[in-house]
Amino acid sequence: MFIYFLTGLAFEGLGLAAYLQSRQGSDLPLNKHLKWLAAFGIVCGVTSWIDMFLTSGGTEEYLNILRLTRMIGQPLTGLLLLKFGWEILREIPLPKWTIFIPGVLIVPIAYVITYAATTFITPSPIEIPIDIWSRYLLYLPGAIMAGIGFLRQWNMQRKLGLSDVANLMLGAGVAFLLEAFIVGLVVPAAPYGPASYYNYDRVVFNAFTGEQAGVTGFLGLTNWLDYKRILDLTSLPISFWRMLSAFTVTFFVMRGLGVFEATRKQQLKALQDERAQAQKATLDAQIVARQTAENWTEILVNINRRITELEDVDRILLYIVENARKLLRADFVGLALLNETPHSLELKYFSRENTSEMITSPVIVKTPLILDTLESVHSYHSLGNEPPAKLENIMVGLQQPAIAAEIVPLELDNRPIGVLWAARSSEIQNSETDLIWLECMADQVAITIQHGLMTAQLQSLSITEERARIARDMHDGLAQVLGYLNLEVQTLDALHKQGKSEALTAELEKMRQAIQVANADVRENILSLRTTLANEQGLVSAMGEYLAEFGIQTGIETSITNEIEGELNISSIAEVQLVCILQEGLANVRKHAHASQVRVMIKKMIQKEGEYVHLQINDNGIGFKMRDSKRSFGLKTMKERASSARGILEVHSELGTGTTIECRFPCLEAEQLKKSPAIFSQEGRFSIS
Amino acid sequence: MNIREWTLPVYTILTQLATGALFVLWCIRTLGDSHYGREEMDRIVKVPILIILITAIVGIAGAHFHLSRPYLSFLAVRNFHTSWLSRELVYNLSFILSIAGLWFLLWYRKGYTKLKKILGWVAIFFGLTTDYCMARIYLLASQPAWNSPLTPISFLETTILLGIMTVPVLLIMDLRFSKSMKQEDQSIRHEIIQGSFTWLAIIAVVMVVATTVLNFFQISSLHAGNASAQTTLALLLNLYQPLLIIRYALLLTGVGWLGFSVIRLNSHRNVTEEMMGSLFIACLLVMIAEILGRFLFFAIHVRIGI
Repeated sequence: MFIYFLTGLAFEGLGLAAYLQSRQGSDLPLNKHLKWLAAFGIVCGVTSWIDMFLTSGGTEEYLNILRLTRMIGQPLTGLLLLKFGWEILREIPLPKWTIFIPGVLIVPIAYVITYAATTFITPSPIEIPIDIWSRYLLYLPGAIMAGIGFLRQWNMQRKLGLSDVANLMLGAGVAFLLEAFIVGLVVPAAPYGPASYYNYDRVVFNAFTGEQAGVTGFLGLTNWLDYKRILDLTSLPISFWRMLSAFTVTFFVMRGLGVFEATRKQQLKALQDERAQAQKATLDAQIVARQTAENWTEILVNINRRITELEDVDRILLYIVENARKLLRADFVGLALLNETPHSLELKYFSRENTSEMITSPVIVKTPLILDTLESVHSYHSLGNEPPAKLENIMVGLQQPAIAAEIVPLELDNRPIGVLWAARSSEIQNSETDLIWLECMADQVAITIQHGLMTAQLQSLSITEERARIARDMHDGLAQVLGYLNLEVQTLDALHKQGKSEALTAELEKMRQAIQVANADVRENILSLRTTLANEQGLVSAMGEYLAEFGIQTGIETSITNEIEGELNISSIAEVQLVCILQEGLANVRKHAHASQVRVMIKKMIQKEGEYVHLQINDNGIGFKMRDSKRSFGLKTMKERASSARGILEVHSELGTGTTIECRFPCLEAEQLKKSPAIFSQEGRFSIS
Repeated sequence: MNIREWTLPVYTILTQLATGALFVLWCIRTLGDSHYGREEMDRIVKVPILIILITAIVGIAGAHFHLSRPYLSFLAVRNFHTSWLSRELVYNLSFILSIAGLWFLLWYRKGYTKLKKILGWVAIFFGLTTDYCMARIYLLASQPAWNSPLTPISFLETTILLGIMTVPVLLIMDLRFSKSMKQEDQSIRHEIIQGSFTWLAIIAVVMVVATTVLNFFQISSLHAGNASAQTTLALLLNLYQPLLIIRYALLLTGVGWLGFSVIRLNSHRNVTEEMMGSLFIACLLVMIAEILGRFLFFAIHVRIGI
């Protein structure tokens, strides 16, 4: 009686736990089946307690009511367990071959049910076949399905990493299979089916004939199938084993319900991981974006610095094209400019992997997409789904077809002047940002070209100014001397008429000196005009030639020391100013220093700010007081020339110790010169028409 | 009946089930040839044929448990010219071999569509002949409950009714399997199911009416019969009355369930695959009813004399 109570208690506990869990709710599909488990536990518990009351005895009427209730409760328990077992079994999708199971089982099920139906007409009390068949047909398959369902849950939870819960699911699965064996298969004795020898009443029937037989039974199987024999070994009744099984099932299922909490924790952890990953991804994206922006900014700053330094326009444009390709991770970037005569779009600069070149022979761009973009004056951004023919030949000189492109028209003073485009054949996705950056580069191209035009205009103005200076020099120098000589000639004529030979000789000497000065000035001017930067042997060589000629003309001993190997690496404007400063310095030596020797030294110096070209002009003349230098117009002009090309000019002098002029100009960065060796070719230079 | 006697309902029902299913399936296949092509129809009947073959083999294997010495069952063929039992065995073996050949051709040989079609009808011929031989065995003068033309007629009725109830389950099962295997001929399967199930349900209702009429005639003939017949009638209406009632209840419920399933199928064409459970229950109920009927057939016989 106490055992039935405990069995009922275990199942009621199971039902209550399942009910409370199902009330809590969960995303897990298992949760929606718990109501069936709860109902099973509660009804099963009640049935066990009815067994308890039946054993305690009572009036016949009271016992009949209990028996009737039990006859309803027993199959209901099996039905509820069958429902729960079926639901939990198919919760995880079953293998494909299980589709055929109904087709295979339909005939055996039909036979078993028919067989069961026929047993109800036997003379035994009706509660016996109800008990037996509700166990065989409902409880046994229900418990087996529930057991397999929990085992499948065990496998799934193990794969999800919930090993603790998975082990409890394994326990629940095994417990239900044990329950199937003890409760579903061990039945009261009856002369049909397995109950004929597999029962706990130790009554054995011949299952084939239905007659009562000895314990040896069919083929000797009853010896080990005889459950009573097993019970005898332990001296414990079947009700005890059922109670044990009930507690085992309840224990594992109740502990296994922890899967909901574990899943919640796992979901929380997954969310946290997801958030951490999202944060990291955002941070990475920000770093990449910042890095990209920094790269672009650096390139844009470099472009502007080069423009400011009046660097060669071809070199700047090639620099833009090459860096645009690198930063956009494009396979090809091209820059084409409109040619007025004949009217055509010519590819001038391009960059592809390992090659960035300025094209000397014109390559006419005929790609319709590029021409359309130029005409529409609107940027084109590829969506990546264009037909291949649309992007055909867009990557000049490359075999592989392009799959995406960005094209930006170039404008100057609201007039189209060309096109800048980037194309790629790889699967790297292009974005709107790429187009924005390319438009940025297109602006830089326009600025570079505009700046080049302005520089050319400035050079033209410089020429005009230089002409005016020469005219002024001639007016102030040669014209004055010639005027003076004209007066002197008139004086000589008068003295000759007067016969003043001594005075005539003195005036002739003055004329000779004046002519010598004029001659020196003219020769110097001629030398200055003749010395140009177009010397093929380079600037230093031209300076050496000038110095040698200066020595011959003036009789001053000159020497030049060149400590520079290769190029000077200074801007073109600095080169011009360097020559002018040398000329001005030497002119001062001739005019004012009374020196017999002048030394010129040119070298490179590395200072904190970078590399410099350093020019030193040193004479052994009379020198001057430094405070007088402030009034010197020539020195002031030299300093202005130096500062106009970001250079510095210093003068050191004392009376009787000669004068030293030092001037330095900053070198261009080495990498700017390495990138485009072809840029120095004479015929390919950027030309402004 | 003890378990040994239960082997007779197992054998007779399974053999009739296999014959009936093959007959119904082959009718659908033959009618579908012109619409969908033989190759297509062969592909659809592949899996059902395998299940029919297994059913037939299990049936004849089950029959051996009825014998005292099952290993000597082959000796029964020696009396082919005189014994209906021998003829039943020979024709049953021919039936199984024909289905086996059909299964082999369908599963392992492409083409031969005409041969397959003919072989199917040959197998049906052997199956129906087996049924007839099976019924003739029970036409014994000493067994008034059996010795009536109603016996072969009721066997034929069981064959057709079980075939009608089983084929829808097989076709839906095959549809679900083909869908899970992502085969491309889903639409044809749907069309066949939609087109055939209504007719099957109508024929099933006719068969149930015929069965009821047959049983009425049986009871009437027993009522007018001799003492043995009276005893049989008494058994049927007293001891086995609950089973008789259950049998008819299940039969009507099963066929009614099929009818409602087909109505639902026709009104909601997208629920074809979900009909599996419904058709399974209908088939199960009719199958239980037929097995109960066969149980009653064996249980109520009363032998005249010793």
